[in-house]
Parts: sequence; structure tokens; C-alpha cells
Amino acid sequence: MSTTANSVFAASSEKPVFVSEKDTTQNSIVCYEVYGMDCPGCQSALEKQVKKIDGVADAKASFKEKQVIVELKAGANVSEEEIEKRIKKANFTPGKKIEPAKNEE
Amino acid sequence: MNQPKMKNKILSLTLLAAFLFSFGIQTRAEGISVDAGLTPAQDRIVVRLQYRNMLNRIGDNDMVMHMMPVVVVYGLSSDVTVMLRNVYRAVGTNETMMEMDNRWMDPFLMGKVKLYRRNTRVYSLGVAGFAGTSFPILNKSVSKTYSPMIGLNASYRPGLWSFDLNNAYEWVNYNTVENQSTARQLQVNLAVSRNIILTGIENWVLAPVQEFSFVRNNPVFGESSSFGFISPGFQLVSPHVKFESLYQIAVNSSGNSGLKNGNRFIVGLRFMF
Repeated sequence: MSTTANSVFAASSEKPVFVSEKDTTQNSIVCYEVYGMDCPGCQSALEKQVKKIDGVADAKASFKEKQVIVELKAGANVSEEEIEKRIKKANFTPGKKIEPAKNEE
Repeated sequence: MNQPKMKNKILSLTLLAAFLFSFGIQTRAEGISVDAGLTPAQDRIVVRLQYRNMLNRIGDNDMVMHMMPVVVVYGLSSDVTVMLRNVYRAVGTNETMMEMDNRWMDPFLMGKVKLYRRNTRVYSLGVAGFAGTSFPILNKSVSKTYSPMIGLNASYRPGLWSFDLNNAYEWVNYNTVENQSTARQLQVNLAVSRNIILTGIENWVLAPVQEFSFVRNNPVFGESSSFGFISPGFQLVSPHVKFESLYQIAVNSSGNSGLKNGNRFIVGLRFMF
């Protein structure tokens, strides 16, 4: 998954929406804190839910970092609400939108 | 009715109760219950395969069985989970008078409902209720009986630790014609485990498990009894596969005069999609 963040925040819409820049072919990244994951099995459950969102290219969850990194397809419009809804469907609780934690390993 | 006839009837009813009850205890899904109070994600599919080596005793006679439960779990929604279980039984040693054959047991269908869930940065707490029953769809079903069960599970996860408490009440072999069950059974199970993150192996976790199980059995005929297991074990968890193993050390109460449990060994695999 690319770590280049190309998304811009569309403030004009009623609900926050992540919009990938239209003039690039690169995917963009958003990252959320997620509470409730405690094992690698939880990671795959959350990834399955988030990948169902139209416009999501990939998702990587980490129970150690308590976060999910979501890769959006170039030009995709994905609302914050949709990502949070999917986190809740996995029985976890979404926290703040954050910068992805760097893996030191 | 004269006294010897009465004595014979009580003896035969006690043996019948022990026989029917033995089916109940062999088909339960006890052991390794560390996700009890937490319902899985919507559309989550879990397939669980196990092998259990079980020793039971009646007097000095041993009965060794190889039980192979197959469990399929599906998350209907984030709040509701359904589970279907069936067990294949292969009889090893049988020195008792009971007639036992190799066969599939009655299937068990269960629904679990999320009652409470709180996830914070520090801990997760979940409570779930469940209800289920075995049902006699197979021709060889024991007396065409059902074994309904209700229960309440709670899970507490502070950091890398896990505490899971399962409580269940079962009407063992409930006969709809006679309108009564062979026994009523209370089951309490506490599992404690701690995740150990394996450095160098990404996304794999080793979790030593210690389980404590208690069962109080109140048969219609014969004396009530209690038994339990003290069960050390471990789990090896990856994103899509979980390997689990448990050794159940039997603890029988002094009042347990009929069927006595011996130690059991459980090994299993879970596939999570």
C-alpha cells in the first residue's frame, strides 16, 4: 500500500468526504484509530468490512497500532461516515482520523 | 409393587438416565471459549474443526471416545450470530455395557445476540446472550429428544489479557412427548489468556490459555452431581487461521457415583473468512 497521501477534504459537503485528487492516478491513504481489536483475527475481520466500501482499493488493520489504514482508489469519493459505519459493523469503535503509525520493524 | 421390583426399576431408570446423559456431555462444545461474549463482524464466517480424545469411566470400566466437532459460524449482522455444530463420534475402547457406535450426532443450532459492547483505548467489554438446541433430524437420534440451552457470556479484554465467562443452562435430552428432560445442567466456564506478540513473525500471536469449567448436573433419576475441568492450553492466532489445544484435567465430586469423567485432550483449527 502506498503511503502517499493525495486526498483532499471536501469541506463543502454536509458529511466529510475524502476525495482523491482527480488529476492523479495515484491512490490515496486515510487512517483511523480503531478500538476493540485484540488479535490478528480482528484485523482480518475489519479489513473485510472496509474493503466492501466502493472506492476502497485496500485496507490494512493493526491491533497493535489500534488503527486501520485505508487506501482509496484515485478519484474515489468515500465518506467518513461510510468508513465509520463499516468499522462499527465489524463490532469495533472508530476513533480519530490520524496519520498512519510508522512501523519500525 | 414389591421392594425388589421397585429397586430394579430405580436401577434401570438410573442406568437409562446415565446412558442418555452421556450423549449430552459428549456433544457439548466446551473448551477454548475465549471469544464468548463478543459477537463477530457482520458476514464473518468461522469454520472450526476439532479433535477430542475423551475418557469416561463407569465403575472400573473405561470408555474412550474420539469426538470430532465441526462448527460453522456466520455473522448475520454485527449484533446477531448463528452457529451450527455437528459432531462425529468414533468409539475407541468401550468396556461398559453401553452400546455405542461410530456416527454423526444430532446437529446443534444456536443464535447469539450482542447485549452490550464497549471498546475503549484501554479495554473491550462485551456481553452476549445465546439460545440453541440440538434437534433430532438423524434417524439414529437418541429418543427423538432436543437439548435446549440458554446462556449468558461476558468477555473483558484489558490490553493483551482476556477474561471470558460463559454461563449456560441446558435441558439435557428434553422429550417432547414426556414433557421432561433427562437432566438439567448448569455449566460455568472461565477462560483467562494473554496474547504474546511473536517478534519476527508478523501477524501471529501466541496466547496461553487457562480454563476452569464447572458443571452441576441434576438428573430426573438419581443423585445430583458436580464435576469440572482445570484446563491449561494455548492458541496460535493469525489473521485467518487459529490453532488451539487444551488438556482438560477432570475433577469429579465425591457424589458422582455413575459416569465419571477422565482427562481430555483437545486440538483444533479455526478458519476465519
